[in-house]
Amino acid sequence: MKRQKNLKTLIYHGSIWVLGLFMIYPILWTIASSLKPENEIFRNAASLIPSEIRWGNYLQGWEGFGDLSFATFFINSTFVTTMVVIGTLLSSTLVAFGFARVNFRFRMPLFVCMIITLMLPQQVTLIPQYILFHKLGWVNTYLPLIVPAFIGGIPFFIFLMIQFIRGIPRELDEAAYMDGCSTFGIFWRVILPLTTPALATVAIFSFYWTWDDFMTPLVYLNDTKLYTVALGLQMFSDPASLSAWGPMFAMSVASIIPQLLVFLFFQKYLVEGITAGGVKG
Amino acid sequence: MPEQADVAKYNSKSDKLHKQWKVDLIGFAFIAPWLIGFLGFIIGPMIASLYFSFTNYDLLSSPTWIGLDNYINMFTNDSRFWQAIKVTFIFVFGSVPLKLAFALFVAMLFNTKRRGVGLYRTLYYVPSILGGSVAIAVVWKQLFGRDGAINDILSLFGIPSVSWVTSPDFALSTLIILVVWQFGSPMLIFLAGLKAIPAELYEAAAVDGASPLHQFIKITIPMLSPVIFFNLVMQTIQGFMAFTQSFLITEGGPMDRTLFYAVYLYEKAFAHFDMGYASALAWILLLICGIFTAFIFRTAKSWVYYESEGGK
Amino acid sequence: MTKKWHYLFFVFVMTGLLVACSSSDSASETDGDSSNKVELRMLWWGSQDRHDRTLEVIDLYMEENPHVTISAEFTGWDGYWEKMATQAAGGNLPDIVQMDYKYLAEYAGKGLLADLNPYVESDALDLSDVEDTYIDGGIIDDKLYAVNIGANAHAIVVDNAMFEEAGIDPLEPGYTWEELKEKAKELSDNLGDNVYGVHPGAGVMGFKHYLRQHDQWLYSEDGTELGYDDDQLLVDYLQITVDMLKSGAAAPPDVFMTAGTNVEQFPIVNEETAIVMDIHSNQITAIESGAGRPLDLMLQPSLEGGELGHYIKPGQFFSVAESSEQQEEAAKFISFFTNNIEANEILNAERGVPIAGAVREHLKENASDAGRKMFEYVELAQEHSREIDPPDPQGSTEIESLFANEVQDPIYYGEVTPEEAAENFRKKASEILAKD
Repeated sequence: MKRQKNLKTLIYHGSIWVLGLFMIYPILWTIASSLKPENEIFRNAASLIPSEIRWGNYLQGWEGFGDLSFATFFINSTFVTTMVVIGTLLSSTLVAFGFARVNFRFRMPLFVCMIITLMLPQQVTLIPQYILFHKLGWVNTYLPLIVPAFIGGIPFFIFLMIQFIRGIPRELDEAAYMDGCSTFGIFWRVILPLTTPALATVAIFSFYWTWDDFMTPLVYLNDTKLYTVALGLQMFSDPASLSAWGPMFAMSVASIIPQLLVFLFFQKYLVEGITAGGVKG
Repeated sequence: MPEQADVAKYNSKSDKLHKQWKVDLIGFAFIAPWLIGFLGFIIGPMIASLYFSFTNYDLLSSPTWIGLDNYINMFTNDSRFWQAIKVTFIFVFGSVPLKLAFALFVAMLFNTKRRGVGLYRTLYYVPSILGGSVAIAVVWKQLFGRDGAINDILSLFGIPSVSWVTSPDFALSTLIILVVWQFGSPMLIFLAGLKAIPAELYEAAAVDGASPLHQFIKITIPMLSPVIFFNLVMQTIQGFMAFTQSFLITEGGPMDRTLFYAVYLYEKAFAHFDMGYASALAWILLLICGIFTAFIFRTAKSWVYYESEGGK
Repeated sequence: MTKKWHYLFFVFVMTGLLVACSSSDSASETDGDSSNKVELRMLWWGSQDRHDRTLEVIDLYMEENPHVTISAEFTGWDGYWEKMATQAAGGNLPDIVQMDYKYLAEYAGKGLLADLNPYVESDALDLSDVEDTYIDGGIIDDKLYAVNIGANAHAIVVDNAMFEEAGIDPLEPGYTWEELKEKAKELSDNLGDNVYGVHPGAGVMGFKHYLRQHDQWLYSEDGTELGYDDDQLLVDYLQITVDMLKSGAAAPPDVFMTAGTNVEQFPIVNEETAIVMDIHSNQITAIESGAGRPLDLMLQPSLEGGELGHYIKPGQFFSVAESSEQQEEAAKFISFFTNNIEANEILNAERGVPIAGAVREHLKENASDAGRKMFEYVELAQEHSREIDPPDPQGSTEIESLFANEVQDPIYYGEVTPEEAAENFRKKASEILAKD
């Protein structure tokens, strides 16, 4: 009996590791390339082991461009991303609760409107949106990046929260109502604690999408001192001339670290979630 | 809904109206952030793009009205439009089911309290973090290139080396594999959903002697259905709008075999300076997406189970 | 509804308003005190090396001209043209922009770029040390819309060590298309498995060159139709690649398609081909650095009894926005960028060969190996040049994707015959050109 259990555990962990290797191969490759001398990156591309370790790539990458180092980009990205995560968490939970639990008129048409905005490619709204933000004097500030998050700019998250809230039994609301809770009280004391795993998901995604986003900062930020990491990363390369691939890969690795940390931090809320709160309990 | 539950108490019509007015106020207060954003920043640009779709607009000079010409051209005289439609449909129908199945499978695998599971989740999420970065394009081309690791593995089985990313026959399948491999976001959503299923349900079923498969079908699937529904809708929409993979890795080639709809649209807008036509393309895409999404929503009534709504 | 909710909502709206207001305040402040102070915005694309050098030159200029402040906006190549198009559409184009030959006609044709001739006349922009071949590329309808900031020439890359290893004499200027085919075949035969003579080129760049050798051009003078009448020209041109692919002289597409346009990943880097067709001369630096061994530039094959195909191509330009309020100051900066020796020592011909004679001479003496090769090659190409054709008309970017998708790639993969490709190209290209 015990041996069988051990065998099962072995198979479980073994197969996960084998598949996992395939999962992380690209990151291993990126790390390897970030340590290779420039002319080895593509000459000896399949090899994961550099002939000599070049820490210099990290140094050269970090130094950035002119007197603009990656420290600036990291600070900027951290600021923008933190604001966006806060904004997204606030706005998407409120809006989702409204859609999922309050039976107001025009609820369905408005919900449909929200879903439709997901289907229009950004490329064609970019120009009118730019003109709008330009008129507001927001170009070359972080406002076009941050404000939309506070006003529910990403319907993906609203829809996600709606789905989770709809999964929570209404008896809980009613019980709270009987105890004298207001609607907002139900949202704050009942629903929010029960959606912790979903909130963690929203936080992880909005962090990582914002951190990675290239187009919005590219278009709206002019002053290079305001640039984010994603912009910094692509400033190393120009296919037609001499690209700094080594430093580019080095900074790509550096850029993944905050994302991993955030993931590790939030993923424990994924695990806790309901089991700790106790739906039925 | 408490208000709703109480409605029965108010029989007179005026009371009902009064109540509804109050409910409206609460509802709009909650959705206000989105509504402000929608009215302030979204609807205007959307209408603008609809207007552009009836014009000849080269981005750099002002648009001129040409009626339905863009739409007519698209359907009657643009073979690349049809190619883009074809590629995009293959991509959506190839990648979405696979990606969802894989994401659900891995999420279930990780929905345990075994040791090291946190680490595993991270490992499997890594490809999605790499996302659309410059690095991933280079890595993916390398991995599926002629001298890449994939060919090294395949050669063990005697399969000849091909440059998968640039082969007209395999390029699209390679991109499908890429997005399936980036299954991190639906996986996390599934995980969060699985966590929300009360353990008591499984315990009770186990006591009744239900097999794991039976538990999966009778408990996991229905309880998870709102989340499956969400992932299905979102992945389908995102599939139709897919851009980065093709744009960064294959640039739509070779010979338009990976010409995603959004890539074609982008090319029209920013490389050929034909924003009018690109806008028309965008609205057709919206229509296609809308039809599929509406279809999924329609079927949802029969298979999506909401705890809060008594399983209708 | 509780008070709590009211508060939250209130706070929400207020923060929004406050943030919005404070930002517009700060924006208007900067517009204030500008009596003789000049602020210029300048936008370019490039890689790390170029950014560092360009920033240093800007600092140098600001030191020498304390009344000028230049704010640098730079990115990589990806996304550059969206950023520019978006800014143009929003009426917010920087004063100085780096421009590509491919897009010059589009931007100039839409009245977005300033004519710089008045500033040449007023001596703000000093081009007295620049030969006409280096200026012509930026002129449309007698107006100077762009100043070349690095000259290029069409080239091929050869690995002479591989020629030697195969026991084959290197290519010499004046060699013909036939000679290329033969030598490439011998290279393939003598260099062993999986090594090929040539990384072929059946693209629009090579075809334009081929047309020039026949004294023709891809576009008609007014840019509303194709400039050549006989499809046989395209058929013959494509046949060269088809022959080389068939004989094994050229590497199959599997070998070279992965790299795309990224020269550092070309198969020659791994000694898989000995020749690369159709590159720009300034790319030698990147290819050599990727390969880690010396490579050489060579002229395009010549046509027996044909015309000279080469021309001096502007690698990149600087243009001044028509909307700029400081056009003269912008022109002065471009003048400095072009003529100043110290600035060009910093720039080190990274964008291509400098156009001012004195600067070129100075840099050539001090150039690195790869740099020297580029200088010498551009001089060689100049000897084999005749004047450049006018910039591509509007719609040309669409023609180029058409050529890549429906001519070049299918030829590589053997999916069409040259005849079919030529006919199809004429039909679709004519439609596109007639549209504009």
